[in-house]
Amino acid sequence: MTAPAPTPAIDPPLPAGRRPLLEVVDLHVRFDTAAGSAQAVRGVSFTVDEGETIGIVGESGCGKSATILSLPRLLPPSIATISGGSVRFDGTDLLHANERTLHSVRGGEIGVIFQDPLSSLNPVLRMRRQLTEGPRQHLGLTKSKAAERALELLTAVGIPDPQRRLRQYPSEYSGGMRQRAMIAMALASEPRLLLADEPTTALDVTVQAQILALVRRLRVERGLSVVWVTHDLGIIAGLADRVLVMYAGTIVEQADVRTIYHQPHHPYTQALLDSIPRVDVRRRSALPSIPGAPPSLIDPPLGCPFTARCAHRMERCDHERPALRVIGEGHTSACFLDITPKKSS
Amino acid sequence: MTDELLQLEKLCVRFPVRRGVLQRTVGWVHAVDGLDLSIAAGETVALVGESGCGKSTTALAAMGIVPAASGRVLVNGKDLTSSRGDELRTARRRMQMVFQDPTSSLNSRMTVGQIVVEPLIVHELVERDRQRERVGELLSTVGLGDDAIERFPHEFSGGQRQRIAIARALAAEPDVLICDEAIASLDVSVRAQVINLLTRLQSELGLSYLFISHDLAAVRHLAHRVMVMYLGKMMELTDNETLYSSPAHPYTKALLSAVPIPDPDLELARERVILAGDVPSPVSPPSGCVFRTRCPIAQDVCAEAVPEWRNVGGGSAGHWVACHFAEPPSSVTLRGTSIESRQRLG
Repeated sequence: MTAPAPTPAIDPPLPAGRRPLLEVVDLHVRFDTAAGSAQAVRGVSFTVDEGETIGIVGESGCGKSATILSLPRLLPPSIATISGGSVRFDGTDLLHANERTLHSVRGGEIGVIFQDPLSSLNPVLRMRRQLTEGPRQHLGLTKSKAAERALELLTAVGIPDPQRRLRQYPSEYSGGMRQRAMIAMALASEPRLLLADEPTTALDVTVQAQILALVRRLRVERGLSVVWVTHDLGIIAGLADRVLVMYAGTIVEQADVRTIYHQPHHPYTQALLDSIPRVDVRRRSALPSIPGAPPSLIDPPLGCPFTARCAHRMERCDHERPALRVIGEGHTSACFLDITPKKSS
Repeated sequence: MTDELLQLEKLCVRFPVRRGVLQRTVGWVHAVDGLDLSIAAGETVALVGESGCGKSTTALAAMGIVPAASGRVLVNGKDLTSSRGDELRTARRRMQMVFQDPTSSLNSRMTVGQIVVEPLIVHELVERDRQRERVGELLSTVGLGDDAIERFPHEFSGGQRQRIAIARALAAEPDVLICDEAIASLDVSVRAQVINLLTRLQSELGLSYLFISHDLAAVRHLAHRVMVMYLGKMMELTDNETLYSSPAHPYTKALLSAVPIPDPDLELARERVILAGDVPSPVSPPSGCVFRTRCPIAQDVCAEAVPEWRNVGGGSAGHWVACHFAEPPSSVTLRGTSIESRQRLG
């Protein structure tokens, strides 16, 4: 096992007088696999303000899901170890909190939605029971008040005929409905923070559009803070205020959404944006692709993790890992390049 | 029609719905209902639509993997549904398939060499002493080295495995490659590599593609013509440019407006057609137009009459739509459009 590399941790300065709702500092997560110990998250730091939506993008294995699932400590301890860092939610240190505190935060002030709704729905309980449990426990509602609320929530997430649906089991719901029911469940206890781990990846685009519209509305109506993890740069463009780009367990770039899409600094962000086909424009030429594949996290490279695939590679990139540094206002990038090499088309 | 490589004529595929202890057939799911489609040499036709629209079943029926209830599948003018024996085997050789998940479509106990050589042996395409050489050629065509021959699929990344699956398909020297969600499980950066590979193979080998996908952005990049399906029915068919710039069917419009665009300013300014509800059950599809239950412009007539498949004009090879209200695209306005304005907080 190699020791974690020194962690760069520069955050954009917060506006005066505002405390972040969530503060993640130098998070490290390790997965113990048969092939060795994989350093899935290698020093990730970021903050989420009240009412702010953070998008975390990256490809498979970049550590985006491991990061978000570590925040409320939802990764199974048998395979995943949070080996360093701190996570503060509204002043509470979640990594060192006891089970009781965690229990009241999860499903209470923090709602979580996953890619697979079946993993968070109980197949042998009627939906009414599952949707009322949270509000009764976390908000102290009576059974009938909570049932009223469940009805409202199902209506809000666009499930037709909610009265009948409340009496049904998850297996009687379609995939899109289960996803919406899970979102209703996560929102039932009026969370302040919603953690979303690729919740729309398995859904059809028209259902995805419904869910994104719902989340946009809730942000405005309730001032909900959101951390949305996805590989889809299109979703993030229409949802996030600020974007973190992750690669090989680290944040390589962080900026407000317009800057990320219009003036990306890190060569990985640029290459990623260039390599996606778009529905609104047709390219006449070949898609620029990124050669090769991400490095193994069991034995991560000493220098910049992107160097082997980078078009702007320099000699120092091979043996020195670039720290996140300030490029512009609220814009940080982990790359040695001095200037923005080119504007993304 | 000599240049039409693959023709699907009034293709219908249905699956029985069985209930009870005796598993009696109580109904039928019309997975594909009257599909007409032809693919010319060197052409890419994309089949798009959401889950359950029948696009994958169409591919399986074209390959003869699931039987067609009615209709014909013609390969180079030869009817596959009535062919038997050697004739069927030759016709099938000319169509090969690449699946979504290369991990399950490649035998994990066979080496890459064994996987790619199999079609050569089955179809007796090259002499025994030339087989290894040919496998090497095929692997280099898809961008893999000779060293891959002795290795197993699990030693490769997802993108490389998909290249192996493509090499295996090419080994049979096909004219048509049917790609069923072949890029769906790949990561963004690797997806671009495979898309480029498919484009290059088409120009080098003159391949035709039936490209089945739910990814409308990738289809825009790859396809010459696009067919939109919904609940087993054809909704719209036209050339790439016409479909994306002036779609005529309300379903196509909703589908296109639901695909996120990686540009925050465009996303903010966009008009979105948000469809209500889910795709109805294919066991009991709506009467008349199958899309009417979610359609923003549905009228009474839509429940009564099945819309005719008609050419509304425009496009390089016509613009076919199944909608009572489809007009020549320039004059179409969508009612019931919800314009979302996004407010930023903080």
